[in-house]
Amino acid sequence: MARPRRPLRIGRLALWGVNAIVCLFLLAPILVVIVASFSRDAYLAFPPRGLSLRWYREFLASRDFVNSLLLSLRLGAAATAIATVVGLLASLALTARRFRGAGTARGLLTSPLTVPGIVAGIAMLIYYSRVGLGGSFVSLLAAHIVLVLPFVVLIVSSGLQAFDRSIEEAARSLGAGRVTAFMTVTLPLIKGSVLAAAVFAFITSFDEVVVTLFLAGPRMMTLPVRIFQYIEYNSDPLVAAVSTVLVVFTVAVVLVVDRVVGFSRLF
Amino acid sequence: MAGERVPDHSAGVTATASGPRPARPGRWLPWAALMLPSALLLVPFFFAPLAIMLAYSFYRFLPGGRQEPALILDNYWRFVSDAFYRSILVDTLLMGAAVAVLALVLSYPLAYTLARSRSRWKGLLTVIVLIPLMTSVVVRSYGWMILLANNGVANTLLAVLQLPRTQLMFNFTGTIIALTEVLMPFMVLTLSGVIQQIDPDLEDSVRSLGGSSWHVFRDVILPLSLPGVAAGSLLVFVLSVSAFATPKLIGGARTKVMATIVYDQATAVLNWPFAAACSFILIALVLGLTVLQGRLLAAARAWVR
Repeated sequence: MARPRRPLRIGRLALWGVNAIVCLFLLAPILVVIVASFSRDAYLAFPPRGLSLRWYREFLASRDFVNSLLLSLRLGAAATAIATVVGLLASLALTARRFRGAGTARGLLTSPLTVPGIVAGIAMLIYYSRVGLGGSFVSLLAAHIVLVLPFVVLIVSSGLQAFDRSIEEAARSLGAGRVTAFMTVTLPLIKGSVLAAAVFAFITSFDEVVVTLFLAGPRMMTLPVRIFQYIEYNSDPLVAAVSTVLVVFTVAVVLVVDRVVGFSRLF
Repeated sequence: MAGERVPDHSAGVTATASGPRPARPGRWLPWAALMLPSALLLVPFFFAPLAIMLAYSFYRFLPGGRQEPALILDNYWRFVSDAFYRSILVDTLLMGAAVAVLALVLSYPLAYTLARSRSRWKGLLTVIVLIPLMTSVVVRSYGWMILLANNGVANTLLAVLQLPRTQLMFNFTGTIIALTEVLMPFMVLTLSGVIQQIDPDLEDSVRSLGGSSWHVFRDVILPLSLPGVAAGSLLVFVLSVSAFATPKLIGGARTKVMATIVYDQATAVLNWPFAAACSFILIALVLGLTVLQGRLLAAARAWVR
């Protein structure tokens, strides 16, 4: 709906001024870390006194950090793949008209979101220690799947609800089996939501730190957990470089997929 | 070709094409099968750990980091009866309230702009609000550690503004500032969603009657956005009361909140029963707040009518 442009008033200028400051506040810590990572000196100073890529070279040379990055990628990919499939199946059930327990099921499926991370973390610590899986990849994978599944369910079922199921029913009435109708009609139309859910799941897993902190072992440390442990006692540009790699990676994934799918329309 | 991905609120109710089908016996089976994988994941890997932790909260702690099965309330009693732990609970709640209020005040203008902006700005602002959410809390907390350091940017800014330098790290002040930034995106998105539902014609009609921007805000935007204010504030409050990484990194060892107590008891003291009890007290707190807000909201709506 076209609106006439309002004349520039003090009120509007003030609003934009406040917004600019707020946006700066939102982005400040990330910008600071990125800039500090190019520091030439051996100690962390902001603003840095000189620029250099040495800390990125140090990162690539650090076996610990590189292994952590690879672990985070493996874990994220595996958790995303499994959670997306499981979540998609669950969303199909939740959005069906005939599923009467859908409300309760949805509440149960999204309950990991309502439990504080610290609580889930200690519960899983106790549990996996008892079961003998403490510090294993399986425990990390199971925990991450459980943590990202609610996001997949919320995003995919939202996409399914906006999708006119009558198209699928039309295909069924023309003789297509239930699975065929889903694969050839429904799935292509909701692939945007499924992709968005997968990206969200990956980022959530990749960035996850609190629960993972409880489950990590000396050889099973994801990148955010290793950064956390490092910055508790050290502060040098190496971890700034590692953090920047983490940030750039997630932003790149989102921007690339946004080009393909268009997330800003989801919000 | 692709259908609408997002329900279009202004278009009214989307009509479904087919009418109701007669219920057939055995029709629930496919849906149960679709839910099975989720159940197989959630029961053993989420609900079981929580149930076991509940059991542990009644166990007896044995010195040396072990515990024996029991059914005693000692752990809960210890928390409730010790003034030290009660004060930590109070501190956590106060910190959560401070973060919620600060986040609300800072987020509101941005949320309003986001809700009312045109496509070019909307995309950019959305990305700016989403980037913190896509960044690990560990990285953002690290950035705050740099900014809030004694010789860091924040103190330099204070000096430039002729204000005294203050200790911003390893105390609640810095923790509150950092947590506000960390949780603001949730407030902005919640508020923006609600403000978007407010009919812009209402604003125009107030202006056309001679009202200033302040009148538009006070008489139209503020009252109609109250559900969003309540929802966003509760979300941020709950998230900050449960927060761990930021208070631990920015607040340091001397800033104790519920989450850091649980962590210390579980990993340093190895008193799992007590840590479990504290965890359930935290869960009860979070659930209680959510229920309370639901009641308050319902009461507010009834009062408005």
